[in-house]
Amino acid sequence: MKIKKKFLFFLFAGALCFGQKTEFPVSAISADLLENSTAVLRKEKIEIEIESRKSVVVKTYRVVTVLNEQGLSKINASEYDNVRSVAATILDANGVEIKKIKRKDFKEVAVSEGSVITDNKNVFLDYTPTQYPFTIIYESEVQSENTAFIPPWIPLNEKNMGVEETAIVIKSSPDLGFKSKSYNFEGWDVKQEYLQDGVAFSLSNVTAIKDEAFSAAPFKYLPHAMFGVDKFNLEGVEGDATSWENFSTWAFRNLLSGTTELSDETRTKVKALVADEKDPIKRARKIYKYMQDKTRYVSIQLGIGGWRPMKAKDVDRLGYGDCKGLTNYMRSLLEAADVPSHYAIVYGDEDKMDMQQDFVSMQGNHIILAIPNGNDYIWLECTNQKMPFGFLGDFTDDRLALLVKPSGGALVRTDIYSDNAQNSKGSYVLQADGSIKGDIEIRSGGVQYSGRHHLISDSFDEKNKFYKAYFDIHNLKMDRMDVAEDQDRAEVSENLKLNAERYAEVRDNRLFFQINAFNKFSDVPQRYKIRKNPFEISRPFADLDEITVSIPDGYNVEAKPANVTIKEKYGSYRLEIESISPNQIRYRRMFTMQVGYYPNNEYEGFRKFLEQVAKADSSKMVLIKT
Amino acid sequence: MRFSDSFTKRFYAIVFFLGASIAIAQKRPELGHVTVAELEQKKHPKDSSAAAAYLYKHTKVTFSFDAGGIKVITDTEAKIKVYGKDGYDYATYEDFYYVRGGSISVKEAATYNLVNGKVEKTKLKGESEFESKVTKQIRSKKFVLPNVREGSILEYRIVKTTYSIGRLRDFYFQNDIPVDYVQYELRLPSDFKYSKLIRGSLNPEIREETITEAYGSQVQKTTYTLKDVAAMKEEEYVTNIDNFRSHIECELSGYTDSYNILHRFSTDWASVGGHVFEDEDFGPELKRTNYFEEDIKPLVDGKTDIEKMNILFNYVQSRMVWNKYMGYSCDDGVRAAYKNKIGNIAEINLMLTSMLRHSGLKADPILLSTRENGIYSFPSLTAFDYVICGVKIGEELHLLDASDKHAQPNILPVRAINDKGRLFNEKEGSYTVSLEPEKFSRKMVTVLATLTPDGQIDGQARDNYFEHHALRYRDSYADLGKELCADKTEKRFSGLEISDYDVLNRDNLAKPVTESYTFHHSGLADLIGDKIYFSPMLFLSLAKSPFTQDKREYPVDFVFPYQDKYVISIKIPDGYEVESVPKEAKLGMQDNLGTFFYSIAPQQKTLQLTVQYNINKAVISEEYYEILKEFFSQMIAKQNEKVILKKV
Repeated sequence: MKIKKKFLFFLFAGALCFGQKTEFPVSAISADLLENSTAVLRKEKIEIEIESRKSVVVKTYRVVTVLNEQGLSKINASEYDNVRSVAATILDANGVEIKKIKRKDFKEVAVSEGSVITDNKNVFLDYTPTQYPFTIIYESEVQSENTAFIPPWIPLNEKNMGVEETAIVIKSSPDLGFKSKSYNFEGWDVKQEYLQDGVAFSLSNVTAIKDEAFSAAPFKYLPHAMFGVDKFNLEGVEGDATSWENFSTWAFRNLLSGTTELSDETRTKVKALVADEKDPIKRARKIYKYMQDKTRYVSIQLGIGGWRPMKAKDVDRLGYGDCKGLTNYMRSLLEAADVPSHYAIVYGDEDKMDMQQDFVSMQGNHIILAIPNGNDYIWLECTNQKMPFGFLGDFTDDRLALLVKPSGGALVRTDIYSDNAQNSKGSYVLQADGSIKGDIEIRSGGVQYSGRHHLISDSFDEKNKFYKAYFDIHNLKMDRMDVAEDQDRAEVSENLKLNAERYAEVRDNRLFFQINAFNKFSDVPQRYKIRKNPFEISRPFADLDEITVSIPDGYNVEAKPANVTIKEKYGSYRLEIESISPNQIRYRRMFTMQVGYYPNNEYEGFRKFLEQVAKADSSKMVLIKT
Repeated sequence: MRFSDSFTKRFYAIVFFLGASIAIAQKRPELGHVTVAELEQKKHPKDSSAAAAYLYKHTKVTFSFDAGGIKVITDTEAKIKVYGKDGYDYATYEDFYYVRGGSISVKEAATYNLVNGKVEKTKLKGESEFESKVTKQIRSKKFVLPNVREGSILEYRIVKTTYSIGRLRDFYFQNDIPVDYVQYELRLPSDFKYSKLIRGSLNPEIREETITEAYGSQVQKTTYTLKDVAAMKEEEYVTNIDNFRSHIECELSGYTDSYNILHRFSTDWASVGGHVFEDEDFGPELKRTNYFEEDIKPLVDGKTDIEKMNILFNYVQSRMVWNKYMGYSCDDGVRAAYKNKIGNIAEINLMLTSMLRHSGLKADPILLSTRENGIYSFPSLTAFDYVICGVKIGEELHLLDASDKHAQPNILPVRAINDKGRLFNEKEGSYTVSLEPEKFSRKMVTVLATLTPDGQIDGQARDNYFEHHALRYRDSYADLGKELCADKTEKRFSGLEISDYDVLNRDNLAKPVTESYTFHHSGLADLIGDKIYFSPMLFLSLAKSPFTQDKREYPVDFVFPYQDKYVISIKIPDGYEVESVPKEAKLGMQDNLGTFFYSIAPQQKTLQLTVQYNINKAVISEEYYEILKEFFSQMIAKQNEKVILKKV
């Protein structure tokens, strides 16, 4: 199939005839901004005007010098909603104009909303440069009737991009209750101006942000600001964001009202299901299983701005829904069984991002369910058909979620996993030819459970592949891979039998081998000459291994690694090796990490800690023939 | 024990085979007959790990005529059993069609479940069908089946139409889930001729008959039937799994018009060649020369053929930017592309071909199918999606692709290295050209290191990358500053600390890339008692074999043959002497597919290690998998053997 792409000719004539005006030459960029940069933001000005409750206009003026192909995506020339105008000019390295790009040269894709193709369009630039570096001046004006989301200011959103100057000015019509909240401004030279119903922020000369191992989540240390209005509009529905309680009430009335109705048949079914159960939590557990077996997750964006869930009776009939639909369906089923629960809005991400306590606005990107349990809540993830009851995993753990209720709605913290344990117990037999045969049982809980959970449903081939990558053993053959889970305790247990040839190196009358055969830590993070970002250990864990090793007859231990104990604030490590009989050695290994947030200058210490762990984990044992 | 086991298996295979052909001869299954037994089935009888299976799949292709022209109608019925939750993906269907003349309609679709011992059917309704615009020309049709659970049976019938009749959509008998019964039925009007090719290792049962339809038109009906097709899943080192899955390709080769005259399309290479040069976006574009004549004359005057080739290749490569569009036809034409310095694959490489021809060289276009596009099978134009240039100098054919900034003559970008291409010449016809690199690409690593008494290793490394190794380096380190290059190399070797990183000839394609750095590593040596143990390959030993699977169903694709050579010298600390070093080793693979050499020479205070390994063929057939796996296993064991030092 041949795909034709028609190119629009443009004329160089203009550039040749007139006196050339030059702007933004590459030579004017200071050396430190070029360091680690694939593009440099020369100048950016974003003007946001909230004209009324039903109209916000965003004007963007952005000049980016793209240094190489990797920097091309940083032009960020893409708009949604009602695009009033969009245009770009390309300059060469000296700042001489080489091309103008008009609206009609931009690409346009309709944004579909379920079965309805809307008028909303995504307009974007698809420019193939003929030379690097080049500079692009990009200008756009976009209007939206949704004032529920005012774009935040995230001046250092792009990695590997030095910034010369970036600014935002936001103005609101009075009486809408304009508000702004800044984060992490301290330590950054942000110029701030507070206006009547508006603000102006700017930042200049910031070197490129680099991707570094264990970097803290960007929102924890990079400057940014959120904006909003108390009186907003969402797809024609007026809303109130004066307090989380009011917002919650508004959301309940406008997003959830009339969505929980179920057929009599389903209500009867649910009632029958829990007829012998008095305890509300036990009722919920049964209904959760029922819901998981009946539904599946399908991504669909329907209802106001994609914020209103599908009706419960539709989910019931169709057996699928997105996070909103499935959560609300679960809520409806519980309601039918007289178990109260709350629809809860959160940020779903591995980085723990809170709904902002002191800034009330439309936030979050995911929905979960909260069931009151005494003074606490039991949280349900409703989009996963395999998760145990009350288990969230690392996608929504430990963060503030908004309970959407008729009244008294508030932010509540989700479950924190502090006991992410993995316990391994087993043994292996070493033969004189260097081969080993081993048995091991591994039990994993907390977020370590999430990491292993896929094994329950993995096929034989998938498990085989997983273990061959997981164990640091060449020529590994898996003889048994029994995996089971205890849903009540959210624990996966693996019962494994394995063998491998050439595990130990046989040399003359000696055998060398790594004593810790089953759980080797080797991912020492990279060293940075100048570490820039702060770092973070966001979830703790504790691994405990106890393995008995049988050595071949006719061999004695010639040398064994010394016991190791390391204690740091980041975590601790212990390796103890002892002979328990003439031909049996036992090693006990404990490796834990603590939650923590640390400044950049402590990174090297943390890295050294992990380096010592990796080294201890690779300790060798030497046996000699008697 | 083993003998009798395999004997039994063979015996059963025969029985199954007979059984299968009897069953196939029976009437094909139909939709709408879901039984309780089918719904009760918990696991696939032949593949217990399957998350889902096609119990039945039937696709019928017919032709019709309307105001818009000739239409191909593809009518597909499928019956799918869902065993586990991972099989839910099969309950969401999405496909794309051209707005002009294309359509996809869902004739019926339903989910069947077992409810209180009875079969319950839930039909798909309009609310679960979604249609969206992808681009101006392309739309997507999607449906989400309702009420899907573990154990459900899904059924649907979908009718697709299109006016593009040149190449029918490939039909896959094999999938990533098992297929119990699959049939492809072609009903071709007798005045249409299609070339058909069955790919993969399975042999469908074929039946042909001629049927007369209403109004007396003759239709040639061919059915292809297979039973019990095992799932084929993707593994590492494979170009494109679809090449190996069992499927059928159909390509229009000609038709007879109303005067009963046969018009042939691309049934043989001669007519393919004729068509390609007649294509207004190919032949005439190749002939144009006036747009570049003046520019290249001073470059090539008085030069030898080899020099001309290199000069013009460099000229086009540095002038032109590829706009990421594939194809062997020009879009805006070579002239506009040349002027704007931007073009698609055809514009860039046809431009190069005509420059070379204009300068007196024997240059011709080579059409090929990229890795993503799969391996082409029979004489046809639709199989190709790319063009490069072939230059014959003396007896040697040089392959050129100027679209890639890091390619060199005979070093094609990986996307273009896919089995074979076809060279076309207007007068002399065409012939097949192997694209598989035959010469090995070299990497040479030299290390000078010092071991300290506490087990730290410091040293300098110098890596030279040639040919494809250089291309790979340039691709992945392109545009990075020295600090980021150092970061990237550190990341490749856990625990390595690099300083003074430098790279030479990154932009000078004529020379090998030379990377050099100073390093420190504290995790390589073990101090046990009064001894030091370490692998003399230091951090450069291969950590793990890429070949861990028990069997392999398709070839291993290394992309290019290679030779990696390491020369490492290590100064041992004062107060220690060498107690033992690994023995010299030589390994060879059957049919000279690979070799490995390891030798260590202890001198007084220095160890001198030489390691060299070759993979001599770019693509190694799956029959050699066991041998390859064993070769890697032994090689890795050797690379990790230890030197033992003893305190004096």
